[in-house]
Amino acid sequence: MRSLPEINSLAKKNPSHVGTALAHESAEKHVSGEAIYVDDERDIAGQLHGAIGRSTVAHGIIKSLDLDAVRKAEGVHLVITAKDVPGHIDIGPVFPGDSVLVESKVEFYGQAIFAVAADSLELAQRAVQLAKIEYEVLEPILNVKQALKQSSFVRPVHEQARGDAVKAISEAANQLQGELVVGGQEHFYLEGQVSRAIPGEDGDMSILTSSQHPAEVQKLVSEVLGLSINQVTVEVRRMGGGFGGKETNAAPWACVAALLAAKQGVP
Amino acid sequence: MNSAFDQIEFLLNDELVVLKDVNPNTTVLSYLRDSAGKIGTKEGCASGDCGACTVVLAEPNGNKLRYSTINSCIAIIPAVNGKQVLTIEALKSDNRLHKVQTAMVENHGSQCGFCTPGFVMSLFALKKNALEKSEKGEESISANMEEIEEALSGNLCRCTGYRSIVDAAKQSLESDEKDQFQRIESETIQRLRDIDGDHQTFSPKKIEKLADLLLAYPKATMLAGGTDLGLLITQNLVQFDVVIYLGKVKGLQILEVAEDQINIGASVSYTQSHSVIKNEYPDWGRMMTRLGSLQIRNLGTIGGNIGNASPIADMPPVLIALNASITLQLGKQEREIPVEDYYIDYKVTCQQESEFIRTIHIPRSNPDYELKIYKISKRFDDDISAVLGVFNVKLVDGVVNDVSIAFGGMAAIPKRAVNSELALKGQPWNQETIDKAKLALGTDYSPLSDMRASADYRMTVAQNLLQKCYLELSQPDLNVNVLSFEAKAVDRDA
Ligand SMILES: Cc1cc2nc3c(=O)[nH]c(=O)nc-3n(C[C@H](O)[C@H](O)[C@H](O)COP(=O)(O)OP(=O)(O)OC[C@H]3O[C@@H](n4cnc5c(N)ncnc54)[C@H](O)[C@@H]3O)c2cc1C
Ligand code: FES
Ligand code: FES
Repeated sequence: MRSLPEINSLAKKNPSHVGTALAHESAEKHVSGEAIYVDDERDIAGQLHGAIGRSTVAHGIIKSLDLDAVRKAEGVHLVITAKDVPGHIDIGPVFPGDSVLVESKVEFYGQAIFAVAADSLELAQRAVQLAKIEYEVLEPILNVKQALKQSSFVRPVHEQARGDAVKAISEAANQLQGELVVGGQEHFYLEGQVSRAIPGEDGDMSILTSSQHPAEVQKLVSEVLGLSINQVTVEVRRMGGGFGGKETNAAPWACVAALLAAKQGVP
Repeated sequence: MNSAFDQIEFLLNDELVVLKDVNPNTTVLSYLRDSAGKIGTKEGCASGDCGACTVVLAEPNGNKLRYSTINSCIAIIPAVNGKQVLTIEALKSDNRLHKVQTAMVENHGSQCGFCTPGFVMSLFALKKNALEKSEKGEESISANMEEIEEALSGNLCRCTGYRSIVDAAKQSLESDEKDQFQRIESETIQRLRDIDGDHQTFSPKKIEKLADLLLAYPKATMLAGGTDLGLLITQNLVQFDVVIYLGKVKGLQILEVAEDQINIGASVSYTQSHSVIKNEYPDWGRMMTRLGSLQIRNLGTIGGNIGNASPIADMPPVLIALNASITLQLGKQEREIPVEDYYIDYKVTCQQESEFIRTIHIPRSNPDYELKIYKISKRFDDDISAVLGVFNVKLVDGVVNDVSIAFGGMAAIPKRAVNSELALKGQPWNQETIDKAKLALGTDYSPLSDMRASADYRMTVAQNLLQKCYLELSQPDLNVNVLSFEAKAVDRDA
């Protein structure tokens, strides 16, 4: 919260109508710290904590992936890579093209390459730092102009047009020319991405997550694990904000948690 | 192996906690959530920016408790030694919500609720401090908008849009009914005094002890507010071996206005030194309210700002332009040097092993000089500077009699603009001179490009700031503040 412009107190002006403040159904729990978010759940006995090893280059081919030191690090129980995914690797929610863990080609900075399960989050994060990864670095495409020049499109070109705009402009009395740059912003939710996966009987998996789209989490977790969808239960108690950033992007974390939990047999 | 503190003792809400052999790298937040099971306090960013982790520290101040908010995510556990840590869990009493909590509920101050515990703690500290002032008869309980904004400056809420939270703040300040904390205040003070013994080897109280410890552990890390160090632990996963907490050293706590200079001990927080600095140099006081957030200023110190040797720290350029000095101490030896000489290269200083910053000496303001400070950052409040320019100018009959200029963010260290100063000294204060001095800035600095700004931008801005200083001094009535915030900040102090 920063210097604020003057804000009118609608509620005071209009006591019984629009703009009246009503208590949120969880308000008493919010203000007393009693509302439980995913990370507030007590650890279950044997529970491990995951961290993800991410790419340090924006574009490249993984030449070698040496995770020996990571495996030997204090508190580490399990390290997985794309090879350990029993089901689908691709978890693109709407269109294909998103790997849960990179197989060989890195497409963006910070892309998930491997995951670690350790006794604590801190130990897992420390272990991640010990990875030795060599890349054949490829030139990344970092802006729209460059992408246009190289005809690099994420999706096929889609055109929406009415009439002949080019002609109309060239015949117009006045013409204005300019360039507009829109600065992209990541969604900002106060509670980060988080998931807990608890393995059950018959290979079932139960997921507690902070997601705007539990059904998608259910589908993708069942796919990466090679399970049928009814074997996966997803629960969302509440979210510490989402704003669309937890619509499709909560799923990768749930999938990684599920992969670790399935392989190790503990939450 | 981390060499731990012998023992850390504090009150967690109303419970006495004694921790032995603690790892000094533990953050207060991880202690609260992972060891003490106090999960009401949330982690949003783990870097001191969002305020979700805000807790309140209470410390005896005379026969009263002083309450201040901190970011528990970057505060490390030694910093709560001998204090009371109040978390969101302490606010309800007899199953009834505290006034500040009721106000948040009734004004719809929460949506997703993740930021809420942090906001509630900030409102709680605001209320406690407002009550204290009203008891002293300084003013009636009811904080103005300015105080509310300051109290909430370190808390981010993405959902509500803040209006409801500000309403809650106003409502919570309406009553001056006693709460459970006031009822047992003197008891709490006594409990804190009882635990505040001198057995903590690494939290020395005497400056001699500090000097000895540093001789014994030359590689020890000095911890003042921890607002730089804490980030190294949470963001870079660094671990310190030996940590010496400076916050309890009496000799580093001095704050005095002497005849010709102001002396500030190295571990005095920004919040503590603010009023003294603001009285002497209003522009500087204003800039300080843009350094971090209230939580950060409650912990952070000028000593740490200098000692951290960051090229983008906000205090050093001001200190350099004012020809301020620092006293460094090694064992029993003291030496006083200009702040300017402290910096050698990127993160390299002239401070020797076992040496520490003891006091900062700031010359009193001189009415012949005009001090202008400009902080340029992406966001107006609570953001690190891209460029910070300081101009201290003495004009006599339209001629530059004396000038000192220093910039942050323009070189590997906070640095004086020597060539630009030369281009100004003895010259008439006009556009022609300013143009030359602007060109000279190009020879003084070759800034870097990074995520905060490009080299080009930095240079252009630095030159424009000199222009702004020129315009402000030659045409005092000209409005050169584009942002309404900026104008508002100036109005407030006027
Ligand atoms: C969210 C956030 C916002 C911030 N915003 C700003 C900002 O706007 N402007 C700005 O300038 N800074 C900012 N900072 C950085 C930081 O708050 C300041 O640099 C602060 O002054 C550091 O003081 P400290 O007491 O917390 O130092 P610490 O973290 O305790 O110490 C910093 C360094 O100084 C050394 N040190 C401390 N005391 C001494 C001493 N007496 N002698 C020798 N060495 C010593 C320490 O060993 C350490 O290396 C921000 C930080 C955060 C987390
Ligand atoms: S968690 Fe964001 S400030 Fe501490
Ligand atoms: S209520 Fe969601 S961030 Fe504040």
